[in-house]
Order: sequence, then structure tokens, then C-alpha cells
Amino acid sequence: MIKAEQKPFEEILEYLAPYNKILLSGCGACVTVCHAGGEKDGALLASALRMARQNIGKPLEILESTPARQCEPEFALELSDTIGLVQAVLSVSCGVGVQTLTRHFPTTQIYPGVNTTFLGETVEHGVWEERCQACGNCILEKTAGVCPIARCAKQLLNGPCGGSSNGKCEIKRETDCAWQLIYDRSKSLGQLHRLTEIIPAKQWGVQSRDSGPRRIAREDLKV
Amino acid sequence: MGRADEKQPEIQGEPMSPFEPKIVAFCCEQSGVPAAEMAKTLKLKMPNHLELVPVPCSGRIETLYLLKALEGGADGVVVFACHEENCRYLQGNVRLKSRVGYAKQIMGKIGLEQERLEIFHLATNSGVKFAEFLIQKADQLEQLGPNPGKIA
Amino acid sequence: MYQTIYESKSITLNPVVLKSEALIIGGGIVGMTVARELAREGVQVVIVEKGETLGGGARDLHFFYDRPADVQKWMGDLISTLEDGGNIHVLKGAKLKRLDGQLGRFQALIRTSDGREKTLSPSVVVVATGCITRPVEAMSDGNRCIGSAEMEKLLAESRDMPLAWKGQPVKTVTFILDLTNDDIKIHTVNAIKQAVILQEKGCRIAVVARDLKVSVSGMELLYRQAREKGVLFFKYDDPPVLSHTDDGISVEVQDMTALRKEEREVVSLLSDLVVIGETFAADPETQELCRVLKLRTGAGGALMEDNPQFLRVMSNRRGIFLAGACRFPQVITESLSEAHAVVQEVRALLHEGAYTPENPIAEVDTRKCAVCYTCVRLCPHAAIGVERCGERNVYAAPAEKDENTLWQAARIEPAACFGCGICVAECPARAITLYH
Repeated sequence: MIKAEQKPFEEILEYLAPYNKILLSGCGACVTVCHAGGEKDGALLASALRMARQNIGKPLEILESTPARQCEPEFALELSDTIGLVQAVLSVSCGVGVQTLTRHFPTTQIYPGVNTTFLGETVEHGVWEERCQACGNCILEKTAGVCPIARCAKQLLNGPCGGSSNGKCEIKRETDCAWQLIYDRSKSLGQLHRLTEIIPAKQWGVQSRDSGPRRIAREDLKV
Repeated sequence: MGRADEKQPEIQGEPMSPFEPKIVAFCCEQSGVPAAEMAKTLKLKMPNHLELVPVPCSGRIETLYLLKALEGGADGVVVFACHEENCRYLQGNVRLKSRVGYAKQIMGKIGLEQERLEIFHLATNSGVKFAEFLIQKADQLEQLGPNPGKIA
Repeated sequence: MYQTIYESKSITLNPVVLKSEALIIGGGIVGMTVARELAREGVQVVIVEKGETLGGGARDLHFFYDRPADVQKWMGDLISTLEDGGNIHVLKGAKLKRLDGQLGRFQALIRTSDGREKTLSPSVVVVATGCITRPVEAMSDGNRCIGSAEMEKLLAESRDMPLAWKGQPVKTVTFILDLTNDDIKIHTVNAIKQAVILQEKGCRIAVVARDLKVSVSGMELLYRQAREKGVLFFKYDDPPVLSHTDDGISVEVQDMTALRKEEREVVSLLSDLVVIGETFAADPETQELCRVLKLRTGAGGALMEDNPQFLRVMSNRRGIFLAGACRFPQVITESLSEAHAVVQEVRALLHEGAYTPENPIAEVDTRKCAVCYTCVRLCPHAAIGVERCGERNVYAAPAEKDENTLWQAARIEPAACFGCGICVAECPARAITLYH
């Protein structure tokens, strides 16, 4: 799922400095699951913001609303009435949610309250780690289910670099070397021979993200 | 703001009424509530503006409540919880401890003194300690002055 | 604000039917005693024993410390009452693989000795899997240094004849206690018991201990008896030093029983045999069982919670009980007390044929649940699971949301909920309410 982290408090205060009435809109999906921006964490942020502004003598009125998701048009439009009552919106949804709101409310300032960090897995409760970078052409079949794009610091496609040491990455010592993981897993699957197959370099521009926002269109589904 | 060290203006013969802090005390029903009742039975001295909020376990106290109490007018928030390893529900007081830590971080960012929030571990028979701690906290809060973040 | 700690409207709490069926894991003396007592009251009992025989750890025991009876004979009688059929069904060579559901609808999957799987639906589960011991780590060649179980066996086999070990007569024995597990006093009890028997056979016995704790019922008397018969007792601070001699094994210890420091001499005890109690360890199979049953273990992997709020035989889950050495290694009379305590608790739970959940109870609002598993992970009582709440896994646009449109969400079993409210506070969607 998308993982995010609340932005530094000081930064949010700066965004909201010009206003005295805002909407804090949460999201009931990904940011709820990673405890960054659902109803609970949104309410906590709202309370903190109110007190911080009270402390400097500039009260801030905050309306709170948490649609189930912010990335569908219907959800964004759910907020229409409330948005009409405020000067700006602080959205603690991921970047997608913020931009869905921006598209549907072109004359309202929408601010991000979280930093959308990565697509990740729950390692243990309260700990999430990056697993996917949405490269658009999944090679997990070739790499025994471990992604070297997301998990190798150098995004190498055909084996570890010389810095891989005791199964750890030379860039960040605590990180497991992705290619060590690929090797170990291939071995336990009896598929070491697959590692001799060359994986060609990714076409970042043509097949991936380096040529603007990608789009999927299902002609059969379109109304 | 420096309210704590601002001199109280004195009108001849009539000093300004001193600031009496409002304390919200969350009391775990396994320890805090019996201790509070014992303190009441023993007619021990307790701060004037005290609001007791009983909870089935200190683990029920959401981080949000800690902040909302301050937002809603408390000058200080206290949580009475069972000693570690004595929680009837095993994890409650441990979870609460993490939440108090998190709330204190947020209070730091808001500009509130972290002493305004504190956990006190106790047992059912700690009536005396209950009252003593509240008196101490009230004194401490008098020195700190009113909560600058409160909105009520 | 926080006035919503409890929701004031009530929810209907339907009683959960509890059939008179119990599952006991472990066929040792505790499991068997619980089975016998429950069966007498008409409860259908199934014992799941991983080994081929019943008896558990007590198979190494021959002498009671507080009565002249023979343990093996007593156990034989106990086993035969079980095998009389009726309400007790024993599955040997069997293991519990999974336990799904909650109080009132437990589903236990058992792998039987022939490799097949059997599903049971008990109302209560009793864990009585005992503990394991590791042999003494004393001298490198293990010569003349034996464990408590071996001494017990020697004594039983020697009957009225003088004691012999590996063909050689044994006239002097030194027991060393408290080298490991100083919170467990089983070896103290066994050592003094064995010492009295040995003295009666004409041997000279010494007992060396850090702490002579005789706080088990009947032990003060036994200790006194041992002293009167001439057993010598020494106390140490620094562990004793063992060494071999040509004709025996020597134990050197600084005797701390003298009141004055100058009188605390180093005593050297030369004997034919040294007995050192085995070390008790957490059984990895019990650990695995705890994972299957979602039971919480305390420090060091033991099932016992060092928590005064916790009644002795209760686990963190309603309907699952623990007793005996798996909870904490203890002497036979204490284990049997726990067995009887479990019987009482089970009776109390089953006698009305149903369990009615009591407020406070928490409930998940399925419309807000993001299925993030936070509550499932954090419930100390394993009372929450993620199950399909509605028949279809559909999502409805917000304007059409109503009572009938549910999707997969976390569900708190009212019969298993303890009302602590931890889940309520942890839920990131604030989807859980505590009803009063």
C-alpha cells in the first residue's frame, strides 16, 4: 500500500499561517493503515494545530472530515459543502488524494499534510519498508520475488555490486543486500540457474516513469 | 510568553486571585479509581480544580484525549495507571506509555511544557500517594502558569 | 471529547452456547486429573497426548515427599480410571495443529497418530504440557555426578537393598542445589526427600544449597525429619567446586551457615555420588503451542505471568486454562492443586450451558474499518479476528452506504472481549466503540 508520514509540524504551521479557518481532510485507506492520516491521526494533528495557534494568539478553526478514500471523484465531491465554508484545505491523504482534490476544487488552496514516501509492506506492527517503485514492467518473476529496483540502492539488474558484504548493503549498512536476498531465495526455490539469464536495462523513458505521468486506459470499461 | 514570571499587579489591600490550575486526571479503574476513593474517604487534601475521568484500563486512553484535555481547558493532565507488569489486561499501561511519549513530542512542537503531562504508576491502596502527587503537580503547574494552548 | 470513553447506548449481547466438552492438551498427571474430575461431572473430555504413553514428567517420579505411597502405582490407578472409557477419550501420538474461533466456537484441528486430521469443537481448552529438563552440566566425564531423576530411579530399583551405582556400593551422597533455576524449588523438595530415604538405608548424606526454601506444604516437617536423621546441611554464596579423587568425588564449599565470618570455613565433602538437579527449560514445543493458541508467554518463554492481577490458572484468553509445570515447574502437590483449580474454573464456566458477555464490550464499525490489522495484533486477549461480515465483499459509493452493505472487516467476539478498550484507542480509523 502507499505509505506516508506526517510532515514536520513546523512546515504545516507555515502553510497555514495566512488562514483562520480550514478543513483537515483525512483518508480512510492507505494513510489510515500506516497511521499517518486517518481519522485518529487527523484529529490529533488538528488538536495540536489549534493549540499551537492559540499559543501564538492567532486562533485557527479546523473542520475535520475523513472520507473513505480521497482518490475517487465521488469522494472528493463529498467534501464540496464543507470546502465552501473554509479558506483552505489541509489534506493528510497521499499525494494522489491531494491532487484529486485540486482537480475538483480548482479555486481552493489544498495543502499536503503528509509526505507520501513509498509503496511498502508491513514488516512488523508500526514498521513499514519500501517494496515497489511502480516501474511499470515488473520483473519479480526473474528475481525470485525480490525487487532490485525498489530494494537495491543502485537498482542493479544482474547481480550485486562489489560492496555487498555479509548480506548487507554498502550504502546503508542496516539494509539487506537485495541481490543476496534474490540469491538466497532462488537457491531455496531450486532456481539458481535463472540468475544466469541476463535482465536487460530498463527503458525508463519509454516503458517507465521518465516521460511524464503514465496513463492506463481500458477502452472496454469506458462508459 | 513568560506568564510564569510576570509580576502580579497589586491593588492596595487587594491582591489578585492566584492562578489555580485545572487538572484532568485519567484514572484506571484497576488502580487509579480505588486510590481516588481511598483518598476521598481519608479526606486527604487534593487540588481544587480536579476532574477525574475513569477508564477501564489506562490502555483505553487515546493519545487524542491527552491533547483534547489540554485543548479543552486543562492546565495539566495526569494519568494514574497500574505499575508496569501489573496491568490486568497485560498491555494497557505499556501502550499508554508510548502514547504519552508521543503526546509529549507533539507538545514540544506546540510550545507546551512537557511537565503538563505525566503518568503516575500506582496500586489500589495508594490513596495517600494519589493525593500527594496531585498536590505536587498542582504546585508545579502554578509555577508554570496557565496552559497557553487551551481554547475553552 | 473524552465523554465518549463509553458509548451509552447498549448493544445486544447474545449468550454463547457452551457445550460440556473440553479439550486437554497433555496427558500427564495434571491433564489426567482434570480429565477425571470433569468426566465425573458429565463433561466430554478429549486428551491429546503427543507421546505413546500417558504420565508425562511424573514417569520419573517414584516417591511422594509427603506420603508413603508409590507414585507409579498411584499413576497406574489414575490411568486405568481414564481408560475405562465413558466421557474420556484419549488420543495418543496426537498433536494440536490449529485452534480457530473463540469461546463457544473453538475449532481445534488435531493430527492423530495415523496421520489423519480430526476436528473437535470444545468449549474450553486446558494446556497441561509440562516442562523439559536439561541434564546436569557438571564434570566433563559425568563420573559420579548424576541427576535427580537418576537418583530417584536408583532408589526405586534398590528396594530394601543397600544402594549401588555401576556395581559399586554407595555410602555417601552429596546433593547440590540452586546451581540453576533458583526460583524453582522442586530439586530442594526432591533432594530432602531422597536424603531421608538414603539416611534410612544407612548412608551419610549432605545437602549443599544457596537457599533452603522449604515453603511447600509439608516440607518444614520433612526438613526437620532430615535434620533429626542426621542429614548435614550447608549453605553457600559462591558455587561449590567439584573435583574427582581416586575413590570419590569431592565438593568444596564455604559454609555460610555459621554466624561469624571467621567460622565460615571451607568444607570439603568427599562422597561416592553427587546429585545435581537438572535444569528446567522452556519447552520449544510448548512455545509453538502458545503461538497456535495465541497465548501470551512471560519472561523467559514461561507461561506464567508475574502479574498479581492474573489468577493462577487463567491465560490471557477466556476459555483457555493452564496448569502444572508448563505454567511453572512446581512440585507434584502444587501441580495437582492447579489441576483442581482448573476444574473449578471450567465448572464455573460450563455449568449454565452458556456464557453471556458482560459489558464493557468493544465493537467494530465495519463501515469505517480499513482492515489494517492493528486491533488484531494489539488485543491482549486475542479476541479480534478479520472475518467476512457480510456475504459479499462489495464496496458501495458513499451515498448508498447502509446497514446491509458490509465488507470484510475486523470483528471482536463479544464472548472473548474483556472490555479493556486498548483496541478502541489504537484504531487509526476510530472505528471501534466501547459499549457500557
